[in-house]
Amino acid sequence: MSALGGVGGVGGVGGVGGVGGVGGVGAFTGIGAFLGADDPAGYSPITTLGLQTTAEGLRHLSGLQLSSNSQHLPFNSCDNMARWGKWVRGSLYLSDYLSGLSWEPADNAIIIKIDNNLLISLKRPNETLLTEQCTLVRNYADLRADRTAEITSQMGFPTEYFAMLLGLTLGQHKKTIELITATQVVAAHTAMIAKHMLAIRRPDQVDGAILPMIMTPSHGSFPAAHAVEAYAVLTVLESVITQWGTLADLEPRIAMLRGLAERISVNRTVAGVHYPIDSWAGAAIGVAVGRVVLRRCGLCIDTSSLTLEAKNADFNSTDFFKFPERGGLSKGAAYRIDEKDSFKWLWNQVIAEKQA
Amino acid sequence: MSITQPMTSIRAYTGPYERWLFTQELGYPFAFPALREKYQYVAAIYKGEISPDIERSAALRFPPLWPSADSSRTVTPFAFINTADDLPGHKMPAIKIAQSSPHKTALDCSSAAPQRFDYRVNVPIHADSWVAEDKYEVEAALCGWKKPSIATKVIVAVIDDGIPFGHRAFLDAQGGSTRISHCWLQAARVSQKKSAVPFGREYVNAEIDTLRASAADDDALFYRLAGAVDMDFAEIGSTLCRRMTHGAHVMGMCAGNGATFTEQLDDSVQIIAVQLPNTVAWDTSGFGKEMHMLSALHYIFNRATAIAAEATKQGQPVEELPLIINFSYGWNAGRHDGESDMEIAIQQLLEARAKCQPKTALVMPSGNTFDHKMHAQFTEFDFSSNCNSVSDTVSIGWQLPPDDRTSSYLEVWLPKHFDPAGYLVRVSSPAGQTLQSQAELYINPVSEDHAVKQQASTDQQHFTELTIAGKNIGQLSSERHNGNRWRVLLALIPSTYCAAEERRSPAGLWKIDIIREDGAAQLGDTELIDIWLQRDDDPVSLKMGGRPSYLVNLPRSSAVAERSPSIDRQLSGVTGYGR
Repeated sequence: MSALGGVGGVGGVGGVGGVGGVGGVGAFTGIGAFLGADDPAGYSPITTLGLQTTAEGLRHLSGLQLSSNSQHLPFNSCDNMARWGKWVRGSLYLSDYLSGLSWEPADNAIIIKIDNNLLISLKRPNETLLTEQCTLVRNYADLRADRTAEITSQMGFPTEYFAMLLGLTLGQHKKTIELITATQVVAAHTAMIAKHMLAIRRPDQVDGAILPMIMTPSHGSFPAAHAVEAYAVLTVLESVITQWGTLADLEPRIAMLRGLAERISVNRTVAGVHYPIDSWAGAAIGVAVGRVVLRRCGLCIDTSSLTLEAKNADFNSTDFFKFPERGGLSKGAAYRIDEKDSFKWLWNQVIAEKQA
Repeated sequence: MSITQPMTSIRAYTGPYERWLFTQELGYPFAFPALREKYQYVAAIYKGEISPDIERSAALRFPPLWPSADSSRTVTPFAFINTADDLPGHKMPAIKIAQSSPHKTALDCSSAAPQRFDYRVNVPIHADSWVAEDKYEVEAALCGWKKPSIATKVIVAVIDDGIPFGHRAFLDAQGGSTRISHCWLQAARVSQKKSAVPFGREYVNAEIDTLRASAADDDALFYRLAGAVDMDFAEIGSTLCRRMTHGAHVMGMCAGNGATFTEQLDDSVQIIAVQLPNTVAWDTSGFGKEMHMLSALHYIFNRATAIAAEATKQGQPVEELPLIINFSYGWNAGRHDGESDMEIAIQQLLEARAKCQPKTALVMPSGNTFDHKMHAQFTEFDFSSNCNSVSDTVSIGWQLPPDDRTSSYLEVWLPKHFDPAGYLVRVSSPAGQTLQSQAELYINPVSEDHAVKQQASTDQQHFTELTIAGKNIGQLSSERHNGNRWRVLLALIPSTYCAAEERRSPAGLWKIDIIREDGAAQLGDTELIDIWLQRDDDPVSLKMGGRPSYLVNLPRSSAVAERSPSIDRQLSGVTGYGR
């Protein structure tokens, strides 16, 4: 977990806000282990003391000249990006994403905008729909014994699962994993905004027979942040591996990525903490966020706005992509969105990591 | 055989499972993958008398049968070469054989008199396990076989998967020779030597010893050399590389020696083993296993006679040896009354052998599904305690799990000889899902409007489809099974999208109502309506993605005391458990 999750150091930025909650329990992607990835907060007391006594012992060897290197770094330049610690870049990605994000309530719905254009609107599901959905949640409990390992290891960002599908390594794909993490972090922030406004009770707070197998997270049910993150990462990775153009089996890999995004989302329903409609809403936001990330990276891709008025439907990737109307999802007008230097820099690094 | 001889066709039986599994719009895309490939060699069972025409036909091959000539045999396992070019295509292959004389036989389809059925297709046999014509020599049965050093007193036989026939637990007291007299790997690739079995590979004791010697103490090497581990070959695969197999468990218990076992078997106990194809349990319909299972039994009886003959003085009649067969296999659904084709066939074999050797025993599983909730029964009490003014209804829930990548099956069996006039079965989908078609079927519709398909004189069949969003997700059928007992079958496609199909069954609680109209016959005191589910899990890790469904007791409308049906009788024959 920690090997890849460590990159989630970017998530450390998540310190911004209670996004820690996205990670769930601290031990999984929590902040502690990652805060200041590339940038340790301090040395151990004994090392600190040792450094001081060494400095005192050696300083006389430096002579008496004043500091000689005062040449500036380039001003406002992405050439500096590689110098910054991962958590610093993470902070920049998040800021560049959020700088265009706004949201407002409208007629029992949330409207989320990017660069002043409609990104997505989500209608608040009514109480009857939640009650109906509890039947599906109870059905999914049949899979708990099978999915326990997945559910408990996916409580944080399930980057390892995406890495498995694409053969990503820490040696070769540092920036690809950084892009995945950045996407997850911005997705999580967006999810929290919608969860807070729509304020939907969790299934176990509606139906006493749900009995979840993990602790119910302390934020709203709709949309599901796991689905937001998974479908955002899916959207970004589909573009990444397509641009790489080096995987001979591109189609099946994309099919598996879609399957994984579905599985990560559905696992939360299996666990008993999400309704299937939460995955519909989450996947819709996720795709929207993924497109924003790609546009921020400078890619020219479809940016239709989305509207969801959830229906009592089960969730899976096939229905989501092929029959969106089954879940109450519809497309609207395309919007404009600005590129950002930080994301463009990252994208160029990612493309250089092409997996052959 | 000369091609100038008149040809005749043996027809395939098409029951509800065949219709479901071989129809593109129904369950075919989700069926056992081998059924969907172009297959040349087909396993099958033949019901009825085998005429000399059939027996001599080069198109057909029979496993070692026992007794070799038996005109009273009801069901005969065989295999044939499929000559039709258009397979697959959701059609049953017709077998073309030559007739030596143009007499009317049970096979003659041009006859106006309909036959119940001629043969029943089973799973295909892989081309690599089909013995070449010039290598197939039935008389080679004991070629290379070595007479055991001690006279054989008892034969223990095992039919299973993953048979560890190279294991030291099956060596004799000296540790030098195997106690396994014969071992047939039904699905192994053929070897280059002569073969007395028509498909797969047979090992006799001396061959096993030779292989053990060349593999030294390396078990993994032994199985590779023997073709019993074959990674690229799904029918064999790497089952024997596992820490344990079902076959190792069973064969160890009934015939193993060594420190693990408290009771040691004498070397006078010889072993015959048959390994079924790994994939025989792939299809959750239970379809297509009969030939391999019945062949295994015939083979064991046949080779047991051969062992006994070797111990008999020349010119003397063969004295059969006591035989115990361990056969840990079966179906969950089905008649469970001793009158399925398999039950009848096995019972006949046992009775025939008991005539020459009463010490003949078959050990079978008696229901190891524990609390899997795969069986329910209704009595007349259930109808009468739940009455309303229009009709009597009994209901049961069927919970279909999510993420099931195989079809699921529920069978309803009425009592034998029961007249189902006025009985209908209605199926309701889980809450929130609406079936487009009227999902109900009169078990025996009197009207011709009910799409009656009368295939033969005795097995009447009726079908209706279940659809959602314009696509078939299920089949509801009824038929008079073997001419004497009505069965209703409900088949549903997987509950998750798979096999590139844009349709699936909704997971959740399905409801089955059995509705009885006024004036319809009532159940007698000892009569029951049985509900059985087919097993739908993955016992040998075939990666088919099945998940077990289960029955659910629905809340009853009136507060009545449950009454457990009890039937008190002696086990008298080969009968599925549960009755």
